[in-house]
Amino acid sequence: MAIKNVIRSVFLFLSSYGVSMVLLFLLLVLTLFGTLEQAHIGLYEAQKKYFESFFLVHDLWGVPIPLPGGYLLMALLFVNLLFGGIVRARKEWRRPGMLIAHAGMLLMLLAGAVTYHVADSGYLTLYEGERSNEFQSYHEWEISIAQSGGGTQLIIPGERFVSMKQGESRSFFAPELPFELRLSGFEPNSRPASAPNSPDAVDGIALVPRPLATGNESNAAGAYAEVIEKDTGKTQRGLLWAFAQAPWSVEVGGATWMIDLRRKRWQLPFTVVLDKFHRDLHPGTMMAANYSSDVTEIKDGVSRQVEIKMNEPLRREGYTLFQSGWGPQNAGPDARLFSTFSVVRNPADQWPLYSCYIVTLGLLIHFLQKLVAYIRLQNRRSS
Amino acid sequence: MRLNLRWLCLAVLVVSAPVMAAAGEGVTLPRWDQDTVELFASLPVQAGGRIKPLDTYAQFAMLKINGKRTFRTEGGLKIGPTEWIMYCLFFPEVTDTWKQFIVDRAEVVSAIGLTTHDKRRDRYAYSELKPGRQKLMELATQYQRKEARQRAPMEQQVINLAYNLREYESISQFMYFSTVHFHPDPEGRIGKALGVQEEGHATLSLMLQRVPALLSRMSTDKSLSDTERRELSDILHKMEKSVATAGTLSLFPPTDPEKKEWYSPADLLVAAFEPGHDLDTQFKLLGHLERLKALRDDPIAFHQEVLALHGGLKALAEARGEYAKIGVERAFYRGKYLFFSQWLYVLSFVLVALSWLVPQSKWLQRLIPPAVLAPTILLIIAIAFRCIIRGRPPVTTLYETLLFITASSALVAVIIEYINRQRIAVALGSIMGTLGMFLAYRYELKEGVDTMPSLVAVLDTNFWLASHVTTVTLGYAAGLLAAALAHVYILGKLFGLKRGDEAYYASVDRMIYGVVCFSLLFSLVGTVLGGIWANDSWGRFWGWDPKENGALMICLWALVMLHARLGHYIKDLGTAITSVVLGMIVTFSWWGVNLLGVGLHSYGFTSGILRLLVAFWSVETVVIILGFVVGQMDRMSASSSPGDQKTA
Repeated sequence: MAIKNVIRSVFLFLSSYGVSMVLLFLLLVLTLFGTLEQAHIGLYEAQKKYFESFFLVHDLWGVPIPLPGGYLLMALLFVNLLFGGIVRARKEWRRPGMLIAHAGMLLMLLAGAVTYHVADSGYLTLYEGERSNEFQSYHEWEISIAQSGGGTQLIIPGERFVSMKQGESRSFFAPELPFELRLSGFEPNSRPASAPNSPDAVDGIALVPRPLATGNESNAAGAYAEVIEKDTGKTQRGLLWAFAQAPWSVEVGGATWMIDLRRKRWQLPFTVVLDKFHRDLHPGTMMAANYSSDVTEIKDGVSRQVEIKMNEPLRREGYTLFQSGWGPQNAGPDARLFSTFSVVRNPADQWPLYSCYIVTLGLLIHFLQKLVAYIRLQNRRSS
Repeated sequence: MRLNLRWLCLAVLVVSAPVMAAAGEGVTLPRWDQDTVELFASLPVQAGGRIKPLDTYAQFAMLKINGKRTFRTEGGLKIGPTEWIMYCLFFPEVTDTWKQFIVDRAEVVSAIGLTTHDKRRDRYAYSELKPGRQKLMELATQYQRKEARQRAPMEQQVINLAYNLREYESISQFMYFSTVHFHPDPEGRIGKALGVQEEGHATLSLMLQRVPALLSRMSTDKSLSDTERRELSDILHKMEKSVATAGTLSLFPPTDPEKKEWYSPADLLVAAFEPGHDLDTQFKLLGHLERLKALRDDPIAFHQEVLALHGGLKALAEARGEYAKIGVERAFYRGKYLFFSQWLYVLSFVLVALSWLVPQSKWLQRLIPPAVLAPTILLIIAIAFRCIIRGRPPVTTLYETLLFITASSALVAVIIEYINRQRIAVALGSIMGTLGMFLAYRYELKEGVDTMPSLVAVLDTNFWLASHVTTVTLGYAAGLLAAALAHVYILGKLFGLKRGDEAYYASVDRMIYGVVCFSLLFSLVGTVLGGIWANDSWGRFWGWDPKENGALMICLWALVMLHARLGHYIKDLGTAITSVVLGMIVTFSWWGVNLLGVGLHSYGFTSGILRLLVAFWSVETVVIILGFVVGQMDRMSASSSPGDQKTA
């Protein structure tokens, strides 16, 4: 009986207006701080710290303020909405508006969670005439180990090494590899520089750490790598740097291996060829009126011509390709151009749209009913 | 016979027109007759990526340089933008001496080594500034290397003045090409081939018609002597030099419908030497333009040339389907809808104020709603004109949000008045209309650029502009109206307005609540629609961009308010106080986030706005504090009369 009472009290608490009010207010405060902070730490860091976190400490003019993070608040809001807005709410057929609107909001929060946990997003850059069937992440790293001339290829996902602390080293083994790879000195943003006296230097070059850039896309991760041959124990040292022109290549047992620290990559279920990139300017100005790419999409030997332009992406097999950039910026009139597409795989892609329909319907019904009641009241008063 | 009569009328008109004594070099300025001015005003010109009347171009150039749309000459004559640009084009030696360059800080003038006027903010003449030109350009180049946010106000002013000087020069020196005459040896082969024997000299338009063909004939002619080659080369060099300052006004529509860029005289020179262009009509029209400067003292002949130029340019533009909106835009600006709307709002506010002084006056009470409705209708007409001219939904720029928010909040206020007839909403409509229109006017003045600009690629979608932008802007308007109503509640209670009339305050409370609901509906739907648009253009529904976050904050706060009210955490006074906060959040989202200088929506003018915002937020904070004072007063009076329990 007591347990039942406790469950009931917890349910009543979690579904209360007070909790909704506090959660919404905290989310508002978090949004305000996260917005203002973007000017200092950039969008990516602000997003991680404020909106994707469980807890955080905000620095307000030197005063540390502990706050629940966006992830936690939104999860609690989901529970509060479900209990308060759906389970506990009055279900009258004559007043369905709020129930519908709350259901729509639940779908919206759910879409957010699915996007956060499941979606992949990155980009694909192609010069005119080039083709590709993979896209890469804006933010995440990976290390690829590949045998030259094909054959074995292994990927070390970023989460296995980006959390390495200063002075820490980690070793990676695999049965198919004739060596062990040991990583150390990982830096999220670095640049190689001549440092013949540094104990870490490889051929006189060392990685110099740099402060994180506000635009996360311009951070270049780097690490020292050691390849230790399984048979002989022979060690070779090298540098891995994200913006390097070519992977580090090592000879082990007569075979050449390429080791590359790079943006995380995903495969597309089709191949994309950039036929032509167009940039239309407003006449007589340097202001772009539109960007578009003529693209051929190839799948199982069948090709289709499509145009990808601003506001009109290509949606295919769960992937969406958006026109997002172009270059080189200083290209002459006849220069070969490249086009960059944002690529997203998100099962919840269209959920916000459905949610928008539902919420709009719910709010319209509810507020119109209120308005009609108000007008009736006024009319009664004036008569 | 009709033609003769017209001529006679024109002659009388010209003779009777006042003549302005010019300040410079003993030149007498003619007063252009209105027909000529209107023809000039409606010359189509391609600028900023769109085709507009020359008057629109002149308005914003004048606004930027002079800070006003009118100018009073030293002779006391008040001129508008088209007349201004005509004088600048055809009498630059006079306009150079006009004190028309607005300088907000005298330090700018002393920084370029010139003597300042007595006043800190004053207007300077080009002739006064010219000795410091080189220094000005050096400083401007130096300051431009700094990021805009890092520049001191004085440095920004230096850059602005440099731009304005260049803009003025590009207009005042535009007609230079028409003063250049070519004198090939009439007896020589080149002179003969160019057919200048009779005239003895040739103008640029004639040279453009004949030189390219001659050049292609003679370039392979081995018998051409060195002297003849030099003569040809000199002609080409002179032609190029003559149009060096004639690139500003792209007045000449191409005959080829595929070619989007219109020609300026400088562009015509380039195109004349490229194969495959049919430019005969453009060259002839250039001839009309060319003759204008020489005919500037002969109003009748001048008018005839303008008429021919206008007719020719109009025909070319019409053939491309690019003239249709010139008339609409002229009608829009000639109608001065925004100007009249602004002053009618002021008038309505005066009536509102009078009604406070004489509350028993029935005719005042009857007059106020139509007095607010009239400027609102004018404003809606203006917005409709702008939609037609651009073929766009009502809101595409920050400036247009001002017009739209003003119109919609005033309209909602009038509708509320129609429903409850409390004379509260309509008074607020009048105040918000006046404030909104003044802000729009100030903004336009400060920016000094065409308020109907071309749109960047991502905005090129009428569907999303119509749905997301319009909806979210309506949400802003309602949020501000709710805040305004809340002021009536708080300040009314504080100053004892309708003391003891709880029904009155209950009615204000219902209005606030209704408008907050309206605001939530539009903000929430608008924000979500924005996300869906972002999902279509950038591949993500939500990116925590400052503008998105601003809109989210409005939704969250409205939700906090409504849930707090439902949970009985706040009542009527609480709703009023939280509505004032809603207004503060709306202004943060509308203007404040642009100050951060980050994100995808950092468009529009922001410098100088911070002071205004901080002032607004400070005043609103005081109102919130007053709200709590009212709460305290209520509690005290409730405890002194226990029979009348009422809490905030």
